[in-house]
Amino acid sequence: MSEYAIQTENIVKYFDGRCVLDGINLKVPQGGIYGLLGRNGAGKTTIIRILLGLEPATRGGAIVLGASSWQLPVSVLGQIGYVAEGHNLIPNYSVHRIADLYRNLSAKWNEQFFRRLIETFRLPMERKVSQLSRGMKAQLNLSLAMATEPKLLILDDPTLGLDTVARRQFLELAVELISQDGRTILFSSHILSDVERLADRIGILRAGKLVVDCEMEELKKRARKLRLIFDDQPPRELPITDIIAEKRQGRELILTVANWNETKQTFLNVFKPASCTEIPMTLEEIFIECTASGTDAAVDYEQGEPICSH
Amino acid sequence: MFTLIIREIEDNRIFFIAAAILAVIFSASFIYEQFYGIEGDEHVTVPAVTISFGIMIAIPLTVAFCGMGASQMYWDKTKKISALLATLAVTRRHIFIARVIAGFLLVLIGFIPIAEAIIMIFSKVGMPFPSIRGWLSFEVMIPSLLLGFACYCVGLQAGWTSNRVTPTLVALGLSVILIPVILIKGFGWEIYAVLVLLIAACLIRAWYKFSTAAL
Repeated sequence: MSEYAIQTENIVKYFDGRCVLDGINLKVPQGGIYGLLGRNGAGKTTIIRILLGLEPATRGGAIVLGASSWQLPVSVLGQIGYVAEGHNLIPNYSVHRIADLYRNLSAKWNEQFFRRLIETFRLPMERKVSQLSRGMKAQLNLSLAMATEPKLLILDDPTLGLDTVARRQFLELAVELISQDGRTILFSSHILSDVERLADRIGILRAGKLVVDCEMEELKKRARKLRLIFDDQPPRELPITDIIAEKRQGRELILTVANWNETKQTFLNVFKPASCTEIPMTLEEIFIECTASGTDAAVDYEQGEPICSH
Repeated sequence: MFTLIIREIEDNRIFFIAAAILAVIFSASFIYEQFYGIEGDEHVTVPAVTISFGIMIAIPLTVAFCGMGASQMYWDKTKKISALLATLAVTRRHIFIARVIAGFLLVLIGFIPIAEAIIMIFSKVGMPFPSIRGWLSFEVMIPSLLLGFACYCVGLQAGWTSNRVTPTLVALGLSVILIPVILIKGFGWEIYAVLVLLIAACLIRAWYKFSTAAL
């Protein structure tokens, strides 16, 4: 068995002549929680759908739990749990009927765990899916996916529509699931605090390209935001690679650099800034820096490799 | 697989009920004619009435078959049913096979009451009437089953669309075209060949669309 639960190879996807994914090489190690981030339309859902064999890739492919994603065998499908964006449940089915369907069509089913989740979320079993609120649909979808005891759980914006308490419950459940040996979670989310709290590895998509793919701690360590103050005007060009963003104001230069290392520090020291202070960055700030468009540096960066990829 | 077939039947129960009702109406009239005959115009023969009534029933029956195929695919696409099923321990092949089996069961349900009516007559009279022998013959029953299944298959391949009008038009078109083709051409191996080819082409096309589509 590979050390990766998911491994994609140069996935390219076009929709009506528009490139949505451009050469995605994603590796999700076994037994971890991988957070996939990106702005709306960045291609998160498309990647997930390709991984599940719901969408064909234009070029490239993916290996999920050792099998080609486009033709996943039943043995592999039975090990995958999925919560779709928008909670794609059959609207005219009752909760009871949907649960029966999952129970009968899943390779594994933990009735006790499912009952516990249903009681925790207080879901009405006889109500139709179409009559559930968005939050209840999310809770039902999560309960169903988790009751199948998947080896790989793929969650596409799972906490969308959940209130704070339900979100917290979900996070605790995810941690409970992952605490079981060998379980892997891939999830995309807009709520960065959830990702920061849960994920141990992170990928950031920007305009169809994977611009970040590394461990969370590594990302925080290697992405630096520096405030540089020079005696005179800051230099027009800096011989430093992986500049994600730069902002100039008088003698001040605020620089966000990826893959920070001693060599870059040495290059920077050549320009003898009067002061150099590091501005601490949260995941949200890193995300915004990585995905904000408009700066030349960001455009240059799009041509390169992911800012940290190991 | 059993769960998938049951799901298909439950979701399309309206077609099963409609087909069963139509078949029972036809069978009842058939039995009535055989036992009590037709009073009135002596020039109207019993088989002639049965056949004309059969054609009247056959048109809505074939529309029901075609409608079921179209409905299965149309609602799957719009409600993203396969997108959900395909993420469980089920492949597209399983979903498609279950769907076709459910369709074939519908066709059988349309014909089983008729066959039962014939058996009832046999057990009652002890010997077949000439007209019953004709109905029982391989030449009539098999093309009738194939016709029903062909209509279902055309609906199946036409239904994978977001357009509600196309499947309906195809269903109506087929009812209008296929039944007269059989009436004009008569029952024979040519009809077997045409229907089998039509079924194969429709199934291959429907499978190709379903297996390569984004769910």
